[in-house]
Amino acid sequence: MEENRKKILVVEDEKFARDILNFTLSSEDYDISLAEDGLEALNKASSNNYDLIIMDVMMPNIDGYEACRRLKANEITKSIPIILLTGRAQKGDILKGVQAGADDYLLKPYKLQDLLNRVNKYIGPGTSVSLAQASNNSEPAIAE
Amino acid sequence: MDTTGEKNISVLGDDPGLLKAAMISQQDEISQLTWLCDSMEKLLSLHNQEQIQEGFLLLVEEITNYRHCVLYLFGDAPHQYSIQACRGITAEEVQTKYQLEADILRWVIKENRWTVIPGEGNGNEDFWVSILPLVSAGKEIGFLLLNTCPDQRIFTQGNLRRLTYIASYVALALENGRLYQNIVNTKNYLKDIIENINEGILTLGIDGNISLLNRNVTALLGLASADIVGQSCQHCLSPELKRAFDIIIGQTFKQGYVMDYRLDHTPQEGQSIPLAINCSLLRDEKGVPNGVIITLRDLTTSLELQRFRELDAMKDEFISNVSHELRTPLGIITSYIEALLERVKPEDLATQRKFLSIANQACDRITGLVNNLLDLSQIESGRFFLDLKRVNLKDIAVSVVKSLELCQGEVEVQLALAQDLPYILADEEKIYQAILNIASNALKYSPVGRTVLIKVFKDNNMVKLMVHDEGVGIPEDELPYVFEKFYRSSSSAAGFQGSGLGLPIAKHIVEAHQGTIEVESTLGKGSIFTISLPFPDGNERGGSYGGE
Repeated sequence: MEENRKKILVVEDEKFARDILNFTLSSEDYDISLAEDGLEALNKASSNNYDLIIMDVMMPNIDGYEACRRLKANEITKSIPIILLTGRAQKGDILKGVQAGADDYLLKPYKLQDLLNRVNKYIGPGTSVSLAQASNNSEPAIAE
Repeated sequence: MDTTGEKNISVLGDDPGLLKAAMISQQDEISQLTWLCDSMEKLLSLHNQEQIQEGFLLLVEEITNYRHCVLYLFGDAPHQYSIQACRGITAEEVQTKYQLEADILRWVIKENRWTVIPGEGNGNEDFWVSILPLVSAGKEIGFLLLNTCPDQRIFTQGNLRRLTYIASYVALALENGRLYQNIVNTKNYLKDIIENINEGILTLGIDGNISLLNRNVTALLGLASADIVGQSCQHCLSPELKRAFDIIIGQTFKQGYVMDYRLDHTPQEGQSIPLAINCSLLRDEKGVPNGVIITLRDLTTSLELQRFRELDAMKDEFISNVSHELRTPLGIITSYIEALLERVKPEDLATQRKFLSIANQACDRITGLVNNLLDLSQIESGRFFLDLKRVNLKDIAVSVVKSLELCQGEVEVQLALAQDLPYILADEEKIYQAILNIASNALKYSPVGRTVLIKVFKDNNMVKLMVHDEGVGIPEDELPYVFEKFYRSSSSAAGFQGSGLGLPIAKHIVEAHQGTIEVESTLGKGSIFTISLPFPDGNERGGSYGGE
């Protein structure tokens, strides 16, 4: 059943923000990988077949805009939908996200449900198995 | 009366009496012509319109003995004329007394001959009005209106010739005077432009001698005197300028021009003028270079403008960063509360507690930022006051470290406290905020697994607090700016968050306590921020500190 779960890469330098995304998305049965900055995200994305990337903008090493630009310029990763998360609310910031090739843009603070709806819009539910099987899922763990 | 006597000579025959009379008459004529020639020569040497007019009207008076006369000159528009000078009559009287017929006037000017105007005397024969046109090389300059006795001895062929002769020369002199005045006006206009332009203008001949300079040059180059036209440029300049001018002029002769050569010129101790110098070749009518023109621009204002633009951009960046700094913890609060309400099972008390604690820390983070913003607004508006009490710096350090431990689990914070520290007089909340700003900065720029050391100790007459991190460090050229408002290190470009307020506020708080704040840093190795605060005399061992 593991192979059927949709794989999402969550890129976020804030530990608590990363943890809650992991907690929420795992509880919706998505297969979550975590990265702390843009550089780690690029490395992971090139060798894993992710269905979706959720990425913060303000991060050390390589920021979200640049990581997004590079992912969209790479043949292997360019078709992966990217949702950018940001606390920068100026018009120019949103424009930068669009120019970097992001598919969607969520402004912090956002509702987890809102994020889930968008994830669902791009890749559907976490697993394609039947509802009966889905109800047997184990509890998601929150990182300590 | 004809006084030339030409015809008379041919019929005089051998009559000696007549011959003598003719000779005397000729002599008179010659002396008259000589007088006229001399007068004309004088008039032509004049450039001043009024002097020319004056001389002209005196000559005419001598010949015609006029009662009064009016000199009219044409303007630029055809047939438009105005009174230029009056003798024996005022301009107002002229307006009521004479209504010149335009057609008659045009005819007289076209004929270019001294002419009596019939009818102007209104049949009253005690005066005659005549007009003397002033025409030079076909150009109508003006005319003279004369009011004279109706005396046939005045209106003679000889006087007609004389006046026509005078009129043509005066017209020429007036035209020359006008052209000369135009040249003077143009020259003054150009001089005005050169003097009042915002830039310094200096021209040098091919020999390196100064041929022109304006007052801005004197000011910008700090020259002792403006009276140096004709002197060698090299003798008037300071060694610093001499070197710069040598380079500029050398390049100009090689490539034709020099654009925006930058020089921070120090005309006197403590005064520095940022200059942009342009230079290009001057050429004679054949195109051969015969000198250079140098312009000097004071960049002080444009550099200030550039600084304002940078400040503006920094402010935009600041708003964006503050927005991010507020929204990130707010996002954590809303996410964890939403998860608590929707996703955590009611019986899972451990997770509930953990989530609430995280939300609580995010609230503290927002409070910290809001405090910084309030401090900033107080500092900016001059309403920054201290509530001074006896406090021990190490107590404040301990509470800072406690709140840091709540926020970060990835960087270790170590505390080294000296014993028996003297108390200081300080606003506890403000000093806490200053230390928190510096220490949380240290944490922010420290990679996972590194240590931040906070030391409190006594050094001479100061209590010092040192924050030592093993983070990314600050480039040396950025060190002077780290305490500037909105300034964020180039490391920030790599994604470190911050409002650019923490350090300037910390500096302001420390300085308000008569203390100092210093920074040392090595790129890639870390930074040391040291706060030094004075303690009151007589408490070196902290004995009077109530809390201990």
